[in-house]
Amino acid sequence: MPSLLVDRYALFFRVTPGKRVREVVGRYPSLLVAVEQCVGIYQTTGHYDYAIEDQRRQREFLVDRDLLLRLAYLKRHDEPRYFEVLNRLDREGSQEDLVRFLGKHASI
Amino acid sequence: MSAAAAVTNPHGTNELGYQQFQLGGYSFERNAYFAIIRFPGGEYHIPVGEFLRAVQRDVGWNFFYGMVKFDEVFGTFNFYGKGVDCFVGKYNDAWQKSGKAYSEMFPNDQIMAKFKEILADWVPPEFNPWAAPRETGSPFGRKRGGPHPAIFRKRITTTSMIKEPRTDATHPVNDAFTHHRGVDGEMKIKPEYSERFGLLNLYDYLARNDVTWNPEIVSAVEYSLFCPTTEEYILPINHGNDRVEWFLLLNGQVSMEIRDRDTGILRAYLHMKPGDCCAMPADISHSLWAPERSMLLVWENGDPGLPEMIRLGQTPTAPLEEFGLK
Repeated sequence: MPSLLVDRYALFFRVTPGKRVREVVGRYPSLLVAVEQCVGIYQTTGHYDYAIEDQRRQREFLVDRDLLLRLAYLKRHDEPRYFEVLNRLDREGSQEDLVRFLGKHASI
Repeated sequence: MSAAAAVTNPHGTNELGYQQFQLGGYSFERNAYFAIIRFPGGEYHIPVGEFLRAVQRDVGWNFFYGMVKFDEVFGTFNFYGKGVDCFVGKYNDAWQKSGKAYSEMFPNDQIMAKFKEILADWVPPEFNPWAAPRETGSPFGRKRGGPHPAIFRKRITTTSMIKEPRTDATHPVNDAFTHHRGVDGEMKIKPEYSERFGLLNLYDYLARNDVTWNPEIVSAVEYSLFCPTTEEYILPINHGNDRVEWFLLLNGQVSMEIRDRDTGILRAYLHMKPGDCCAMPADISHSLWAPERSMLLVWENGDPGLPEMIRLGQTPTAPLEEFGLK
């Protein structure tokens, strides 16, 4: 069984603003792997609205189309920064930090 | 000679002649006896021989399937094209609960390049990280040249089936197998099919193996990979599975500790004898030891989609469940 101490990020689809599908898509051990899963699903199905819940620390990242494209852009054009930003948010930070980092480092 | 952590001089080496390496928030330093891993929040020491043997496997296997734990605390988790998670205590129950665990993800190329630099600088000329202890020199002490050329050895990864026998000139029979030789079979092949068939005695092939604990792909049928290996002393890593894995012991003796992959909590001991077949669940880690040189056939399903299917509950984690059994 997955351990919440390890696979602490739960990924959900969002269908309308503020409403997520109840069933979890998957659980992931790092924020970066959860984001990669979002990008992977987007490339396969075109879906672009996700909630990534850190169940250990009661925080949530909402990834909409704009943030998803910025993340994909950052990975392609500045991979070290992409890893740096997501590693930092994995340890500490909030939705506001994610938006601010991407606004600064992934202007599209 | 002091075993204490040494001061780095202006040339970037410590008083024993070894370089210090930086990887994200980690720094790696070695002294006479230990590798010292510093990370935000603490430091961790691993005996340098064990560390170098483990780094060598991680590099040689391109981070392998799933988790490569260097010991109970430090290691890497391969997410393939997504990156490699380098962790301290993340998959250890006590470290998790104490809040000491730390991890950082890196692009595969970046961490691979850093680990290769560490091997090139820290491996002494007479220490072969692939060899059993009786076959090689000491990893300890100050820098005295190097590295041993075996660190550049390429893993065999055939895409079909190896057909070329090994010879005395290139692969002499290991001392442990001089009285234990395979007997060649006989095969007659029509000339027009000579490229499509081959006969190779696996016992003879493995008797000439020049490395230990290194499953190499000698036969591949789509995702079905046969990875025989020779074992002696202790597997330098704990392998945390991300898929079901099968072992068939061909001779000798292999013992195993089986732990929960995510917490390191012990689940079972296993002592394999020749002919024993072991099918491991996808959510365990295993450490192995062999009191004599032994031949082990490892069978892997290399399907890159498996970890995600297991994560989503679309395929069982226990081998028997794959056959509808409990």
